[in-house]
Amino acid sequence: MATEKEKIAKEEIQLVVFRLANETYGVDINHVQEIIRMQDITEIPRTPDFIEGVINLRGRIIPVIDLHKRFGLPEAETNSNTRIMVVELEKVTVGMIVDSVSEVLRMPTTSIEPPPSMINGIDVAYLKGVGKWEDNRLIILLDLERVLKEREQRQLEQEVAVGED
Amino acid sequence: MSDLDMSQYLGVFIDEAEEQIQQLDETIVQLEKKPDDLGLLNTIFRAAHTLKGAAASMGFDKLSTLTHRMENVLDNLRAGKLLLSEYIIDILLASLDKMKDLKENIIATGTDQGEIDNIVADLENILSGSIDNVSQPQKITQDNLELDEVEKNVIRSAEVKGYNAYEIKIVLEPDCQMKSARVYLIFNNLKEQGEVIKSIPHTRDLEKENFDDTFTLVFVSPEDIDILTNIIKSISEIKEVKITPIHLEGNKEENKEQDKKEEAVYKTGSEQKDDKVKTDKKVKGLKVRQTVRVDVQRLETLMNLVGELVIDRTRLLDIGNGLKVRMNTKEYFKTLNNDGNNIKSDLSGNEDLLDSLEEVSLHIGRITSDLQEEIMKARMFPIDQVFNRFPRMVRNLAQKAGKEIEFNIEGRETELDRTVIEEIGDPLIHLLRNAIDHGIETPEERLSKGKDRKGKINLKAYHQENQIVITVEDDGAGIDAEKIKAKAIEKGLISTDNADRLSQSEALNLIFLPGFSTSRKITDVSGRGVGMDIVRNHIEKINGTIDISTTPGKGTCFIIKLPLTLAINHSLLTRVGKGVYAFPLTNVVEIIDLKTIEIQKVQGRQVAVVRGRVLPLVYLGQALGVINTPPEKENLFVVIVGLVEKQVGFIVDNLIGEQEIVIKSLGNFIGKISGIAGATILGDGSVALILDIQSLINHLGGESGRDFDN
Repeated sequence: MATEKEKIAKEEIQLVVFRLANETYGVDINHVQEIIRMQDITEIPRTPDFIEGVINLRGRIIPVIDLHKRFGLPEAETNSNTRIMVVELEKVTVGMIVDSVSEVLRMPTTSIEPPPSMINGIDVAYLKGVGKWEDNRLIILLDLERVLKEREQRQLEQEVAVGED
Repeated sequence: MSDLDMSQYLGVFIDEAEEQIQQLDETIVQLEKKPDDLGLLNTIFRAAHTLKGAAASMGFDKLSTLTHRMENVLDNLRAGKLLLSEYIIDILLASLDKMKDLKENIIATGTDQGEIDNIVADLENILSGSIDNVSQPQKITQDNLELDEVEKNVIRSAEVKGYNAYEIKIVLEPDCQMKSARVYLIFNNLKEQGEVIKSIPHTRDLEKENFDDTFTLVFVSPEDIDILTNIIKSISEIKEVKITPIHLEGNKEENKEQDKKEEAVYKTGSEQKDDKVKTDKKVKGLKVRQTVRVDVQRLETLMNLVGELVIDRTRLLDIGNGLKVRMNTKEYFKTLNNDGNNIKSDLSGNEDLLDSLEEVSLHIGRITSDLQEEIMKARMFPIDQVFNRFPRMVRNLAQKAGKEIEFNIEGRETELDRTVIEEIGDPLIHLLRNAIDHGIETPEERLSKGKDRKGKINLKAYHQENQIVITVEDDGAGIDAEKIKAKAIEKGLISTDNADRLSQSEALNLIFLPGFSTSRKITDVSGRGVGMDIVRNHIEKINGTIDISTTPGKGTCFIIKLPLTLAINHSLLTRVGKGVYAFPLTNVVEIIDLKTIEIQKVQGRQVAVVRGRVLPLVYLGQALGVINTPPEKENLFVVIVGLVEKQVGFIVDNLIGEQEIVIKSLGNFIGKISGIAGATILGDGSVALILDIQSLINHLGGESGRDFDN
């Protein structure tokens, strides 16, 4: 029984599906902490423009990034569907602004393919693959680690640069 | 006993061991001064005995064997069978170091692994009396890769940044023509990747080619071994490069042991070490939980306060219910509409509710501030936790520097916040080091100047208003302001013109400029600590200030002022555009109202004359890079902040008021932003940013010339 379950777990991945600039994206549900409505964001000076600022999430200060700006997509206006998806990866908690969050899917890993070189203008480095859903929808799987980590990498480089001054 | 049971007591054991080791550390050094003090000897004996018992009951055989031998030596000393000598003190201290290593290993791995045979043999030799006390060289300074406190601290702080520390062993070609040039190239190339913090042999010897073909560096860098190896190998005439990571807590002792052995053995040894590091990392998962000892009385008080809060909660619920009943009852509204008398009586009911609401909120206010205070106290530690390792350090450093020093500590019991305690150690080590190396003269020199042969260093801590003051005072040579100026000019930090205009205290403050200290240069890697600018950075990071007063020939005193806590901060809230920004009140000198017409322009820069002083003005929005033009207004609010000698006026759109705020970090993702120290959550749930005045002003100076620097 347990092996059966494991087998299924291995072959399937649960995705939170969201929309961004008219494309459908998905991230592994294990990294999604919660999804909240858009709220006032406090701007932080001297940060890259994709960092919108910080919000107060029940007493915690959480940075919020705009995925449009992060990927260089055309900016979208905030409306009643706009959500902040709070994701957590290796102790870094970040809110990501997305156009809307639609559903949670179970996708067999077999239907995920490596990403083509360029999708909708997004650098393929940020993508894990493309999943084909039953109704022929394509779901682009984000590589959260890349999306979040690269920032840290740069941060580190900056610090080194400052340290050498 | 099962593993589960043991792990339950492990935290308690570590606490206890740390306490005893600290006590040993202190008392053994004291014992050297007062070899006849039987009471002291008894204290030491008891501490060793307790530790032995605890270690044995936890099954840490090595630790208990070591302490047992130590106890025997102490017992013989007590009984007068042995005479206390400097050698015995050295061995006792060395045993103590070994104990610390074993303790660290226990924390890291859960077992007391480590090699104790040598030190146990030394102790046994003392016991059997077979040792020639005088001929024995000092153990402490003998080892090759002995890192002192300062170097270890540099490595630790580098590790925090995610850097690694490496031991780099470089072998030059035997027929290498210009060895010093190769060395220079290696240092130069490495400089871009990190920092060399130690070199064996000393860089002086490297420069004079006063070495064979081999030398060793201790290097901190974010890069990995392969990259570093390639960088060094890109230089010609290098025969071999061997880089091994340095792992501070884990198995330093083993490294030392291996370093002593032959070179051939060394290589295999270092490979073993690599494996060891890996296993260590695996085991790290079982880390011992950090515990804090809190006074039971304090816990009782906290519990009482929480109890009162619970009562308040019930009262709030009652008031809420009362209001709900009033609002929801349809009859209520009817009577309200029809009958004037009823309105009155109902209104008086409202007043009652309002009264009790006010009462409750006042009460809650009082309770929360009591709670805050109590919790803060629970986080407070006596500064002795930092101070107690200094006597030992001063003793070692003085010995190495060939100076005689009397070291006094006052105010050990002064309590400071945990976070402050963690940060204050390094700067104090630097200051003490400087006092020993540069402040105190050699005994001969002192005698010739008519001073006591022994130099004095006093370390004091005390409360003053809402601050903690720590002073490091020596009666050494003092600092000559003119020499400081000359050096600053020589280093190109200031122009000759500027130097002439500096006052005495301004000139002294030059030593805090980055680049003033020579210590970062390769010619002096291992000598002098890391420079005064780092000291000041450390202190300012915890919202403290540092001042110097000095009299040439008489001595120097460094005065450090620190806030009681870092977690909560009194701040002045201001508004710029949509954002709320908090100035830490410690930095705010005053707030003034300024008419726009009073602003003048000097060299394209806004200034105002405030009480005869020219004050540079900056719009806060502009300084932060958020909003570039201030709104057109007749009257401006200016917050004047002061930092050491500088004062700058920040123009803000509006003042909100003074408030106690809880500081929260912006987190790893955003990281450090110059000008911003963190964030806080306001009463309405919105987020305000806390300004980091120092980096804000520095940034200002960096972007737009150096006008603000003087």
